Amino acid sequence: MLSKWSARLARLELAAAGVMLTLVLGLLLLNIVTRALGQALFWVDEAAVLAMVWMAFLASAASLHNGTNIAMTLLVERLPAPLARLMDVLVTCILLVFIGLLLLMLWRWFDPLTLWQMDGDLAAYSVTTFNFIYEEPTMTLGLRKVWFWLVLPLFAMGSALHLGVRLVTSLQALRSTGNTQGTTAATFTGTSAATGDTTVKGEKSW
Amino acid sequence: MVISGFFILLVIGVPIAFLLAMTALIYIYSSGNLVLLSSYPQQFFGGLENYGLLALPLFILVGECMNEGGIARRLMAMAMALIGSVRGGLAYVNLLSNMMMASILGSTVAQITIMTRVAVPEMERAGYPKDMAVALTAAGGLLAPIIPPSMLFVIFGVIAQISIGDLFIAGIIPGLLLGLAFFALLGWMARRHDFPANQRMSWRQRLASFRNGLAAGLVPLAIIGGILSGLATPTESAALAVVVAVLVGRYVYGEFELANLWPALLRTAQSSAIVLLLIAAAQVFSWVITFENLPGLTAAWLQDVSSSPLVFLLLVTGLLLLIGMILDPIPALILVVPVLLPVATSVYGINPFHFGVVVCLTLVLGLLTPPVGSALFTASALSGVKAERIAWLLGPYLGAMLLVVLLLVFFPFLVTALI
Repeated sequence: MLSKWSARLARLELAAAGVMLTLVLGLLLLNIVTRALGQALFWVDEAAVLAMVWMAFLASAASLHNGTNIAMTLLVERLPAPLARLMDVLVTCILLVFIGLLLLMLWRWFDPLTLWQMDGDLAAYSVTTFNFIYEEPTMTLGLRKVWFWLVLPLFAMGSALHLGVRLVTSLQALRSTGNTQGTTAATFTGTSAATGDTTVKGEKSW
Repeated sequence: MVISGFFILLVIGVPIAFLLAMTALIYIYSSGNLVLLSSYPQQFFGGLENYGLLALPLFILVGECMNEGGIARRLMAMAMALIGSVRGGLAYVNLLSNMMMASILGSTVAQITIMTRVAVPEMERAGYPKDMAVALTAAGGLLAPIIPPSMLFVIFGVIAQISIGDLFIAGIIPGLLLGLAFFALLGWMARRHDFPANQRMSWRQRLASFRNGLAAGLVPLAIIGGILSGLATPTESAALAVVVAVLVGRYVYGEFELANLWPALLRTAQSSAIVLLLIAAAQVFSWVITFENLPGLTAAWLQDVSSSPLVFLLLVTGLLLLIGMILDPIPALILVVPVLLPVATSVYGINPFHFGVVVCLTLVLGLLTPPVGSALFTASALSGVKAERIAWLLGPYLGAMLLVVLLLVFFPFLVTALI
C-alpha cells in the first residue's frame, strides 16, 4: 500500500521532469530560430536553465524510489545478504536524517510562519528579518526567484516520502526474511543502460 | 572528522551525490561556522544554474533518439562500404562506426549499449570469437567521451569555467590519435589471430549503403555545423541534433515511432538527473572545501615533491588511474577537479584545456577496469561474456590508450594546437 503511493509519486515527479525537459528543448530551439532571424529573446537562456534545474530536482526525488543513484557498492556487494540488508536500512536512515536536516534548513529559509504573522507583507518581512528570499528577482524573467526555489521543498518532501517508505518496507523484509532467502521489497534494480555513464550495477542499487 | 566521515559514508554505500552534500554539512557543523547553514539550500540550487549544463540532458536525449531510429545500424553499414573487404574488415568497421558514433554520443556506457547490440552479433556471424568482438566494442566505447561532444568535457568545462566549445575542439586530435592507435593495434591483431575478411560487396551495394548512411551523418553534421557556423552554441546544437535524429529516424528510415518520444524523454530526465544531482552536491562540497583551503594544502604538499609541471601531471595521471579503478569518471571528476585544477593552473602553469583532456582521458580508462567499471559490466551484461574475460582481452587496448595519454602529457600542443 505504502510502496504504491511512493511509486505513484515517483511517476508523477518523473512525468513533471519530462515536461521540464521538453520545455528545455523547446526553449533552446526557439533561441536558435529567433537568433537566426535577428530577434534574439534575452530571457530564454535563464528560463531554459531554470527548467533544467526543476527537471533535475524532480527526477532526483523520483530516483530515490527507482534506485538509480550512483553509490560505491564495492564493499556492500561482498557482504552476506542479511548484513547487506541491514546496511541498506542504515543507509536509508542516514539519508532520512540528511533530508530531515535539509527540510529544517528550508523551513528556516522560507520561514512561512513569520511571513504569515506579518500578513504576507514581503517588504516588511525582508526589512525585519534580513532574509531576502521573497524579494530576490530573477535576472531576466521578471519573476521572483522564490517561485523557482520552491522546487527544493518539493524535492525534500518527495525524497522524505520515498525514503520513509523504503525504510518501512526494508524493515518489514528484514523481519520476515529472517531465514528465507528472498528479494527484499526495497531492492530496486535497473535503470536504462542506454544512457549516461551512470548505470548502477549489482543487485542492490540506489 | 570530516575526512573519516566521508570515507565511512562512502564505504557503506551512501549514494555519492548525498555523500558530498552530507560531507559539506559535517564540515559546517564541525567547524562551527553555522552561519553557512542559512545559504546551504541556495548553494544547492545555484550549483545547477549553469548554462553549460544544459548540454548534458540534451546529448543524452540525442543518444536515446538515435537508438530508437536505427541510425547506429546505418552508420555501421556505411563504415562497411568504406572499408570494404580486407582481413579483419569487420573489426575495422566496428572501430570506424564507434568513431562515428562517438561524434554523436558523449557517453561510453550509452555507446557500448548500442554497439554491443548492433556490432557484436554481426561479428559473431562473420566468425569472430565473441569475447574478442565484445572487447573490441567495449574499447571502441572509450572514444565516446573523447571525440566531441563529450559529457566529461561538459562537466569539466563547467567546473573549470572554461569554454566547452573550445574543449570539444581540443578533444579532436586526441580522439583521432586514439582511433589511430586502435587501428594500428587491430592491424597487428588481425594478422596474429587470423581475423576473417569481410564478404565482398559490389560497388553498387557499397554505394547504396553509403547513400543510406549519409542521412545518419546529418546528426553529427548538425552538431559540428551548428557550432562552427555560429548558428548555435554547443548546447543548442545538441537540441538541433535531437530534431535531426528524430526527423531522420522518422522520415528517412521510417523506424522512429513518435509514441517512443515520451518514454525517451523520461529516461533522459532520469539519467541526466543522476549526474546533475551529483554536480549540485559537488558544488556545495567545493563551496565548503574552499573554506578548508584543500587546494592550497595539496599544492604545498605537491610542491615539496617536485616543481616540474611534467612530474606533477605524471603524478596526477597515476593518481587518477587508481581513483578511476574504484570510481566512475563523472563522480571522480567532480571530486578531483576542484582540488587539483587550481594547483595545476596557478602553481604549475598548466593550460586548463591540456589538464582537462589529460584528466578526462585518464579517468575514462577506469570505465573498463575492474573492480568498478560500469562500461565493463554493461558490456558483460549485454553480451553474456564474463567481465574478467573481457577485462583480460582489453589489456592491449588499455595499454594503447595509456600510451596516448602519456603522449598528451609530454606534448601539450597535441591538445592546444586547434584552439
